[in-house]
Amino acid sequence: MTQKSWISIVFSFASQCRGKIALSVLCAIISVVAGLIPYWSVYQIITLFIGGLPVMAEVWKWCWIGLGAYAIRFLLYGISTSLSHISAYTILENIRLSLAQRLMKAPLGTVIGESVGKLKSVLVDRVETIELPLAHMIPECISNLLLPVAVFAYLVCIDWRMALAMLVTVPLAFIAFAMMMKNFNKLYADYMESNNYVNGVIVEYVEGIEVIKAFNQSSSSYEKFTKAVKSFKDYTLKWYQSTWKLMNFISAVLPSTFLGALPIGMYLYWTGSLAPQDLVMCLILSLGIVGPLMNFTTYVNETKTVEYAVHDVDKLLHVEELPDTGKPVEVKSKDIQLQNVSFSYNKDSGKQVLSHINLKIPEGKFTALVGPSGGGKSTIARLIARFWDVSDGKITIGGVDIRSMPLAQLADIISFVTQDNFLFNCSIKENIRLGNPDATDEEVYAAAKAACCDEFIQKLDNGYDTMAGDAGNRLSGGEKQRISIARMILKNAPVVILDEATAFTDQENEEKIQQSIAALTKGKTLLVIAHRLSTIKNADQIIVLQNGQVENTGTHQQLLDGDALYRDMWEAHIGAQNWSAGSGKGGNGYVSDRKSTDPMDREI
Amino acid sequence: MFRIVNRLIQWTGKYKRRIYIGFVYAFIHSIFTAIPIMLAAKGLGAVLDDWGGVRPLEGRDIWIMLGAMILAVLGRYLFSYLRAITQESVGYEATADERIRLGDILKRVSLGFFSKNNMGELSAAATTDLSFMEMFAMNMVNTVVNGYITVIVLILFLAFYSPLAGGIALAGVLLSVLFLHLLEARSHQNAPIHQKAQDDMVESSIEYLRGMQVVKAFKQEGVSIAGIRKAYNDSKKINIKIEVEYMPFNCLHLFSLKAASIAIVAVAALLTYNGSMELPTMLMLDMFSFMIFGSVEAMNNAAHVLEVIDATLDKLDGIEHADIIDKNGKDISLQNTDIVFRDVTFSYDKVPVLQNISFSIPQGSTTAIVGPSGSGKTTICNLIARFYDVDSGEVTVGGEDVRNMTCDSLLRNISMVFQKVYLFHDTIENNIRFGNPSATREEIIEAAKKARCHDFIINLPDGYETVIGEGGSTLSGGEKQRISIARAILKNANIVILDEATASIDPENEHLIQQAISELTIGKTVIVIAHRLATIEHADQILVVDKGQVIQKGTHQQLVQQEGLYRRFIMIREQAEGWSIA
Repeated sequence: MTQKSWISIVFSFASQCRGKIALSVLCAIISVVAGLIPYWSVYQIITLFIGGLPVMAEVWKWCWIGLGAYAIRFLLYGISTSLSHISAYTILENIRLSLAQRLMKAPLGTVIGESVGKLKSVLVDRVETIELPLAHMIPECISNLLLPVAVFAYLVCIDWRMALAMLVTVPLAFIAFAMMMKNFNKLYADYMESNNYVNGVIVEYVEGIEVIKAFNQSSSSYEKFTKAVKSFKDYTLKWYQSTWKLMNFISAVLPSTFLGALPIGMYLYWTGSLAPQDLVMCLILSLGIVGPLMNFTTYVNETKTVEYAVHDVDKLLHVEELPDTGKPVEVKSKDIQLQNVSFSYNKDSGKQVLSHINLKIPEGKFTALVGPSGGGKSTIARLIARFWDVSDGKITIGGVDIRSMPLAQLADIISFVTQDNFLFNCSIKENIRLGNPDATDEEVYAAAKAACCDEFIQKLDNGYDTMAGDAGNRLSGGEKQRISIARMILKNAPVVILDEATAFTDQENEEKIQQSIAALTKGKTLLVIAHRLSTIKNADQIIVLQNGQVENTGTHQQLLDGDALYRDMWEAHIGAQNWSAGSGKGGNGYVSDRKSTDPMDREI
Repeated sequence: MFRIVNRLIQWTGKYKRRIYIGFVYAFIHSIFTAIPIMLAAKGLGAVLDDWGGVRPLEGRDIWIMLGAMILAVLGRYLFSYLRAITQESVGYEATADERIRLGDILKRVSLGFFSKNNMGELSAAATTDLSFMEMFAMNMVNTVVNGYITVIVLILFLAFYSPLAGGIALAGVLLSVLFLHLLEARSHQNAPIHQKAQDDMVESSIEYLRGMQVVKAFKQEGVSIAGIRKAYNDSKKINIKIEVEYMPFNCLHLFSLKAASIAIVAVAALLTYNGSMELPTMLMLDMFSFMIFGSVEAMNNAAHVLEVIDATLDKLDGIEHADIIDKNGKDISLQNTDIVFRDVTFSYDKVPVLQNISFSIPQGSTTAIVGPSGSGKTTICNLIARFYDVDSGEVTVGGEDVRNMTCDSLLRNISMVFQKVYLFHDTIENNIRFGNPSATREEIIEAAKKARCHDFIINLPDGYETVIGEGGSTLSGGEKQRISIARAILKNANIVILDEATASIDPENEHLIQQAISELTIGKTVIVIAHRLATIEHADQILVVDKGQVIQKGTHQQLVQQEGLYRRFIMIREQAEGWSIA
């Protein structure tokens, strides 16, 4: 990725508000010019008095001109700032939408691999930090730069030596500023890092509060927490303290334009090359540029904030897309085949999760994947659903490489059931109908009945029309799972993949969930990843995976006879089922002396 | 505005004095800001005297002027630096104190507090909200208080030369404060609207991200993007509306100050015309008029920041005033670990959870609690550990009402293993040591061996030093569970409260976990929320809980004889555990 400057990134989102930005800048410039007029007015008044023959009517005229100029200045300032806020918010909206769309096109595996909280924080919070500096920088930066330049040019016309005298503080401040910024990038990055660390510790503390309450025996806070908070404070204070000397030097010296202007002005008058009213004018103008000069320094910090946020956004905008093709292909059968498939999450450095896998999932049959956790079971299931693309080899359905069929077509073929049962915030009826937008109400009810959810849905206040969001807190995990199974039943895809969907979290619903899964999987090409081996003992084909490779394939009985790993797992499963937690009675008979050195237990 | 600033100063607590000292420096600093203007007036006076032929200008005058200017700038630098070191760091120090204070409070409130307040919001308060305070609190005190100190000092200077001009300047400032006040009122009004737009955006972003898998499975990308597009668009519209609404007040605030400047110039001219003011004084007033309001012009931005700070302070207050559960507890050592519930009633948010529950758990026995989810099983355990207080009745441990004890002295006797394992982002060794901070390395290894995790730990590249959750060292669910059991073993408390995992874990892990639990529970008083048949069957006592009441009590043998929930429950369990697809 080429490192584009943040300004060009920001402006690439500004296409529909270019006009507004231009107008905003124009207004800002006119506003600055109008803001200079009062100086001219006062100069005229002073000239009248120094000339010795002041006329009050003239004085009033110039006062009114000054006042009018201020009115114009702030009117235009208002317009300019409003326009730039409108532009800034439009840019934010565009950035957010592009991010959202990009994520939708990225491989699903990439997105669900990130924490939702983190992605949300980039989409909402990080992007938001750009707004204020952006809205103020567009017009103000330009006008604040322009004003000193204009004043300087004007002073050069009066006397170039005065112009230089006025700016004598600028190089002084600039040297201090350069000294301060010397390590700024590194220090700022360090600061962000320690800030993230302390935030991480705090979040961990809050989330782990139950454990902390239960275990922490002293009355002081968890030591790590206190230490992190204190060392962060010390770090930031040290940093700030080191900058205070220079910072305050700048803020004291930079606005003191009189430092050069007054003595040198007097000297020039003394030598006879400057008229007294010109001296007054120079002094007044050198007061006028103090504000813009000071404002300019604050932008440097804000620029950094924007720069960091924009680069975060940009990184996310460049996540790799999953290629999609347009035209549907004919798929003759639903046989799924993995040919020499290898996969690693990270192309450059990753360890291989799967290496050279060959396996076949025949149409209409029940295939199960078993093996120690980390063996690659879920990865295979997800590759078939194209959460990612394989690194090497290919996956075919009915002989067609899944990469050459449109994603929409693949979605029609496969129902992927997980433990994550997401319901949208619309009515329960609509949530189920998602499975097939053309389904009639009757078909929706039938699917709900098949998934054993008709009964509890009827009991809700508004039945099928209850909003899932309102009901969300009252539905148990098992009930939500059954609603999402009803959705799958309605979808009626020929291939069903159950990824740990049988690891129920809701005990008393377990039986009903089992019923609904039976309804969903009937007559389908079925691939199941199950933790509880008894669930899959009737499978037509059980594939044992270990360390990313196929270890063995067969039926339950064949594997019990011929595969040591499977036999161990089965025995452990049966053993654990009969084992009890207790006070050294009964069930403890199962505590064997066998050390846990078996290979299945190593999983990193 | 001043109310919030005052609140902010009070918030800094023991650092308050330094803020007040800072105000003194700020006061002196503003005098040094005014001096150059007076010097300029003096210099111009000398120039005009020379021009008018009253007194010729000498080279010495210019040198004196230069020296005085340098002194003024140095004075300005000195006092601005002094103010910075006394005042600026207060924000960081007060924030660190506040964070530690929050940490202590959170540890001592009832768990109910955490379900009432969303966890995310609590951590946000201690992280982002306080970061904001850290960065802006002192900045705001400086802008507002020192800004007004400066302008008042300058007005006093002005009034010294011309009371009328001083009066006009004061009027200008008051007028601008009025507009600021209106701005602030508007900002206060808009705060909830703005917050709602922000919340909607967060909510729909999360729904969009969480629902992505389902959206793709059902090809609803268009619908989903339309939803998020609307949320982002609404947020944009509301934000723009708010900004545009503020603009007139902003401009009027600035304009009233500038109008006062022009009025000062006019008054100075009039007085000089009448002969009641000297020309150099007029020139000085003219110069003053351009810089006098500089310190209050930026005040409009402060209004918004202060609104945010006010809301943050409200939130922090809410947390700080949470009820601490063991205020009146004493440190008591228990004689035994019998646990007794007498007529315990407990409701949560006015919804009754337990009603008149009574039972006793003798020392050294195992009690299994079974029942449908939501029946109150977890609540019973939480009441023993006093994560909540009962509404009526009492819970005693070792004959002592738990409410008479401090949380620490009660929890010393209890080890808890939760269903949701929580490990800290720290080394494995430190995670286990959490059970007993004074344990030696040998004791930790011993506990790890008992919990059947020593073997996999030493096979990790960094062994016990492996940091959990980093890089390649993501542990499996079962391994994490065993580490949490090692932690409980190390604590070696006499009461063990166990929430059995419901989600099935890999068979090989399940087996090891059961061994670990066995080590943990030998010879202890055990209360287990049980899901597995084997556990239930072997318990000394089974409590069947339904709708907040204990409806059956006894051993497995006794209960299967009875008609009732227990028998049905066992039947369903037997079926479910043996279930197979197809």
